[in-house]
Formats: sequence, structure tokens, C-alpha cells
Amino acid sequence: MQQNRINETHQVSPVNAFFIVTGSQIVVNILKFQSVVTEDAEQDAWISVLLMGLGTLLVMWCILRLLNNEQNYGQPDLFSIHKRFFGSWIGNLLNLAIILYEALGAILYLRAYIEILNVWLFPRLSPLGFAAIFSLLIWTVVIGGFRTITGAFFLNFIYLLPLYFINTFIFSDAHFSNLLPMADHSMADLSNSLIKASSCFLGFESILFYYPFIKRPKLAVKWCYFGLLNTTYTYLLLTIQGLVYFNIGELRTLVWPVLTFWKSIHFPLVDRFEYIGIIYWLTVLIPNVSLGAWIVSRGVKQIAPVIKQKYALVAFLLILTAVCAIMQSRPQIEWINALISHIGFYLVFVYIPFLLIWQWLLKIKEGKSQ
Amino acid sequence: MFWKKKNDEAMKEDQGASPKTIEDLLLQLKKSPDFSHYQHLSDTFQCWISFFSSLVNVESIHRDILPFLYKGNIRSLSDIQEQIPIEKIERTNDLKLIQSKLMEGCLIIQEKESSPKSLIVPTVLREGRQVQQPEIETSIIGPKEAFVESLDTNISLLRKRIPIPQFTVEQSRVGKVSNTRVCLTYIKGIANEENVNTVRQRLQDLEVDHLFDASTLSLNISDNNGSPFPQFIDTERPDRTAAALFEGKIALLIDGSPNSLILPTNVVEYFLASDDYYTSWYFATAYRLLRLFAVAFSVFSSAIYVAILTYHYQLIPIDLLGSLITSRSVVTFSPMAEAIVLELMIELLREAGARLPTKVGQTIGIVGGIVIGTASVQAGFTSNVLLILVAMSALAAFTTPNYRMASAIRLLRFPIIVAAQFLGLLGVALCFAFFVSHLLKLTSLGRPFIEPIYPLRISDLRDSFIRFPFTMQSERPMFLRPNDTLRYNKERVKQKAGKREPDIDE
Repeated sequence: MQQNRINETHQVSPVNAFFIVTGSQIVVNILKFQSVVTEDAEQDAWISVLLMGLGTLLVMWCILRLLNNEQNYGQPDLFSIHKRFFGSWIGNLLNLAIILYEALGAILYLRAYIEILNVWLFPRLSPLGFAAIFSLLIWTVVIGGFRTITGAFFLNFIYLLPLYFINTFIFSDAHFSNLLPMADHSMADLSNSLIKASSCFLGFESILFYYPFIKRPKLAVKWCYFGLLNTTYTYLLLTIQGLVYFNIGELRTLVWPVLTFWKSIHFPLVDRFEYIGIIYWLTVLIPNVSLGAWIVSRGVKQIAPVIKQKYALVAFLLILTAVCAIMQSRPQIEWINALISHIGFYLVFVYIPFLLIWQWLLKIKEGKSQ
Repeated sequence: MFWKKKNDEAMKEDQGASPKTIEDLLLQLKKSPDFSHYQHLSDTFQCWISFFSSLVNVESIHRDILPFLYKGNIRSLSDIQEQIPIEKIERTNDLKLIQSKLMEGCLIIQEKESSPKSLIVPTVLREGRQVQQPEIETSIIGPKEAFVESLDTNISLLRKRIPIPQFTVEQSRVGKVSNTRVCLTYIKGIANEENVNTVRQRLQDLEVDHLFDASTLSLNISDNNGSPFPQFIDTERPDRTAAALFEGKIALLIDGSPNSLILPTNVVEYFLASDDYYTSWYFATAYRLLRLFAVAFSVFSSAIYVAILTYHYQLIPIDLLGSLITSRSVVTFSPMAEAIVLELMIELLREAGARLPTKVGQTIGIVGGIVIGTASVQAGFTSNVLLILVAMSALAAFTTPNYRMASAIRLLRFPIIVAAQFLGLLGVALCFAFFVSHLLKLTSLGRPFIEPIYPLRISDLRDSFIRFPFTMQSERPMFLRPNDTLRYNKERVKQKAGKREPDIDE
């Protein structure tokens, strides 16, 4: 066990769990969030968002419990857990699947951002060129190890703080009557919205991979929950803001309602705030793609210890660039987005509780054999 | 390996060149005109005296040493050692010691010319520059002393400010050929032992042939040599160095360098001036924030101008657009060419100002600033708006108190301008992200470089962007991991301040 332990110089302090958890939830999808979530539940979407937020808290409880128990047996991360639970063969197969999921997630983040850039800023920006430069940036971050990635998450949180105040611009144009009538939708509508909202809440499950890198993990527990609460608060605010600023019909026609809202904000020297906002979003993208790349390259090393993590990283970044260049049409991106959010939903709400139960069963079995 | 063997042989030859006996040494030195070597003859005693007249203060030798040799009761070297009223006279047979002491300006007394048995008498050295006012890091309030080239003077400047026995000075030699004296100074009990050991280790491992200045040493022992940012502060102010020592930092003093090196540091310290500690905390904070704003302005302003005018003219409010168009309408170049030309012009002025003698430099500044500036606008080389931006960003860059950091910041803007030309504001953001990711990885003596920000240390933020009142700064910076974390007892400060007055006029 001892040699598995991560060197303390590579670990981060517990409070950083807050920044990573909340930072990995708020990614590119947030810009679409308002129109996605109000599709079914309409003005009651905020109920779905609230329920989803509470759901993530439950899942986080499961994850932390799973990882904390696992500390007695080996390294508490999902790759090692798979190997211990299901043996080397099946475990590695599952690891491969997880790596694919994470890789697709990272690719999707970048591709979705390039799409926004193409639509709003640079219609002729080549995905290949941008992805190549961006991969280089990701390489410089990930090569610094997990501490650097955490730093990027922290700075991301700091950068985003001013955006919380941007919402105050809404008051002059808000129609709070849009929220009425309350509780007017069936459970089916609400749960549909809830499932659709899940794609924006995903990301926090990556703690399954970086948990061993947190110093004194017991102290990090509360920060994990705070991170989730912060995200829930942000999304709740965003839902209500979308509902009072736009009407439902308008929201249906918009792809990125947040950007449309930013468009209406004027500053003395900046006439169109959404330009700044979109470029600002680069800071959100960097830590998240970095974390994805880190998880993928680390996973490759766990499956095949022969391959060094830095080489796996380079290979992944090349694939990332290539796939971003290949994916051209919007339906492709939409398809992958739908796929990822479905897999993610089941991964988080079904697979993780299953793992916890499996761990419990293993423990009982162990107790009997002794 | 063939080349390695050759290298080894070269090394052996090199060693062979150094004198093996005292006669060789004296023979070699006698060729220099500034080397005095003569036989001293008196009735009772005769000896050989040698010294470098260019190193020692000859007057003091004639006054304090030589007269004693003529006294009747001197018959041997040990008599001299007892009689001369000078402390720390050494007796030795060691040729190497004799050689190095001679080179430092000591006086050597031998009984026989061929025998290495000798006395080493320390002398008064020729004086270098007097202690003067700081010229690079000037301050309006506060002490007006600066380090000089003489190491001993510099140590005395520090000792006067830190009159405690725990103030430790460790001397070592750096440089294969130059053997420069380097002093590692810290306050025992406050400085972290681990830091001290790291510095000691790095000094030992240093492979250079000569060393002239603190900045060279800083480049050689820094954590990342490839970084554009300096990782250790070099300062010419003894008060700043002493303050750093009190915080638990380590200072290196180099013989022949009018700068001390403070290590480890974090990024915010490069933007702190010593004035900040001599004024009320409102003003200190205001000027600090101004300086930090100046850094951001000088790095980004011209790049953002290029980005907006090339790609994002929609960002400009409609009222401003008119005046921008009129100023740009006569300019024939693209915004990027225009910006690069002006930035180069300013850099030229700065470089010319630095290289020229002071009196000429001022004239050049006026000619450059006023004549070239207005002429280039009238000729349609650049627009008025950009001229303002570039001149202001040049001014802003000079507000950074640390020269090496200021030059790093000035150079940063060129890659950002180029990036702005290719990808607009996105390019600016990407370039910025590259620098930030570099800063995130950077360490100073193994401590994170952007420390109060990440890893976040609230207690260290009290003396970074905002300088809190001294009564609230009872702790030493956490990133140094000092042995003694408290500057003073916070409770006692509260007691002395007494309870708040319960009411008006009571």
C-alpha cells in the first residue's frame, strides 16, 4: 500500500476540492442550459434543477463513502477500484470504457467551444488549428501535474466571480410573472427536465480519479458538498434568470440563451459583452480539458504501466486535435453530446451506487472467509 | 569516450599550470608591476615581505605594520605575530592559502624566500565606492542607503539593522577561476532550515568560472532558467534586504555586486516598493493596486487595440467609433504593424536612454518622446489613439519597482500583440493562458511562485494586493514556512491598545 501513496508534494489542500468540483460542473453546456432545461418543465424547471442538485449531493455521498472505504484496501481511485473488484481483466476493460468516456467528454467540451467560436466570433476559424494550439496549452498545464490543473481550476473560479454580478443587469428587464403559474407541470415533465439538466451537472464524478491527490481527504468532504451546492445555486439562479428575462417561446428558439442575454449588456468601453464572455469561457475550458487529459493519460498508465503518462498525454492530445478537426457537422456534435450525457447519467446514478453495494458485498464475503 | 578523455587531460594541464612551490609562485607574480616583493633588513631580523600594492592601502602598511619590524626585540616570525597590533594574523605552510590570501590583499612575511613558512597579515584594503543613495530603487520616504561593491561594507549595512547574534553570515566561494566570495545570510531561528540547506546546496553545485553580480547568480541558481520571470529579487536597498531577513527569507551577498539577492520570493513581491511600508496603509494599498493595474495595462493595452481593430470592431461603442475612425483613416498600416512600429520605437528610446550617458539620455528622451511621436502621427505612420496607449503602457511598465521584472513584463507584450493579430481577443486570452500556466508551474526555491493566490493563503494576502495595517500583520509569510511564525504577540498589541472608549467624551 505504501508505495501506492501519492507524494505529498503532488497533493493539494482539501479546500481545493471545492474549486475542482464546482469548476468541473460548470463547463460549456451552461451556455445552453436555460433552453435545454425549460424544454419540458417550462416555468417549473427550477424545481427539476433543485431536485437534480439534491441528487448530486446523494451521489457525492456515495462516491465519498466508496473512496473512503477503499482507502483500507488500496489506492482510492476508480481505476484501482475496478481492478480490485472485478479482477485484472474485466477491471481493465471497464477502465478502458471509463477512459473512452472521459476522452469523449474532453473532446466534446473543446468541440462545443469551437462551435460557439465559429458561430459568434470567427466563422472561418479552423477547428484543426485552434485545437492544435489549445492542445499545446493543455500539454503545458498537464505536464505540471495535478497541482497545476488544480491551480487552473482555482483561477477559473476567481475569473468567474465577476460573472455572478453580471446577473444584476437583469433586474431592469425582468418579468417575474413569467414564473407563474407555479407547479403546473406533471411529474413526467419534471423528470424529463431533470434528466436533461443532468448533462450540465455531470463532471463532479471526476473526484473518483483525483481523490488520492487530496491531502487529508476527511477535511475535503465538506468542500465537495459546498462545491455541489454552489453549482446548484448557480444553475438555479440561471434558470430563474432565463425564465424571467425570456419567455418560453423565445427560449425554445435560442441555442445559447446566456450569450443572448450577455448581448444586451453594455459597458462604457465594451458594447457587446458576449464577445468578452465567450473569450472568458476559455478559462473554464482549460482546466476541464486538462483534467480530462490527465485522467485519460493516467488511466492509460494504470492499464499498461509500460506507457509513461507523458507519452500517453501526447497521444491523447493528438487524438483530441484530430477528432476535433474531423467532427464538422452540428448533428454529430449533438449526437455525441446526447450519448455522453446518457452514459454519464447512468454512470453517476446507477453505476456508482452499484459499486458501493458491490464493495459492501465484498466486505461481507471477506468477513466470512476469515 | 574520446572527448571526455581529452577534457580530462586538459584539466590536468590546467592544474599543472598552477605553481607548485613558493618560489614558482613568487617568480610568476614578480612579472606584475603592482607586486611588491623585497627583503626587509634590520639589525636583529631579516625577512621577505610581499603584497599587491594595487589591492592594499599602502599608507596603512607603512603606518601600522612596517614600523614594528624595525623594533629591536623582534627576532622571529612569532615575535612579529605577538608585536604587531593587528588581529587574526595567521601562520601557515599552506601554499594554496598563501596564494589566495595574497590575492585578497593580505601581506605575506617569510623568513626565507624559498620556504613556505610564513605569516599572513590582514591589511586595510583600498576603499571602493562610498555608500550612496539608491539609484535604481529610489524611494521618497525611508532610508537612503544603498549597497556598494564591497562585500564587507554590505554586511555591515545589514548588521547595523539586525543587531542580534542570530544573524548568521556563512561565507562560501563560487566560481572555478574567480573564487568570488558569496555570503549566505539569514536569521537563525526565523529562517526555515530547509530553505537554507537548499541555497547552500545550490551554491555548492554551481559550476561557473566567474561571478560578478547578484543577477548572474540569480539566473544560475534559479529553479527554472528558461522562465522569462525572475524568481529571486535583487535589490540594492539594505532596508529591504533586512526586512526580508526579518520575514524569514535568505539573502545572498556577492563580493563585487551592489545588489543583494533575496530568496525565495513570490510574484506579488516584485510589485511592492519600499515606500509602501513607510506610508499609511490606505496610500500604500492604493499605489500598490495602481501598480498592479499598470502591469495589466502595459501588457494588454496595445494587444487589445490590435485585436479589436482587426477583428472585433463591434465591441467599440458607436460614439467612440467615430473618433477612432478619424484617427485611423490616414494610417496606411494594419493595426499590428502600427503597434509593432510604435512599441519598437519606445523600446529603442528606452534602450538608448539606458546606454547613453545621463546628460545626453535626457535630451534623447525629449527628442524621442515629443518630436518623433508627433511627427509619426502627422506622417500617417500611427494613429493618435495608439500613440497614447503605447506611451501610457511604456510609462506603466516602469512603475514596477524591480527592474528585471519590469523588463520581463515589457517583453511579454510582443508575443501577445502577434497573437492578437492572428486570433484577435482569443489570441490574447490564449497567450495569457500560456503565461499563467507557466506561472502556475514556476517555483522559487521549491516554493510556489504565485503563492498568495494559488495555493490560496489568506494570511499572506494581508501583505500582497492590499497592505493591511501593521497591527494586523502579526504573522510572517506562510509560504516561507518560517521556524518562528509570529512576528509579535497579537494579544499584547490588543492589551496595549486598551479597550475601546465606551462613549463620546468619556
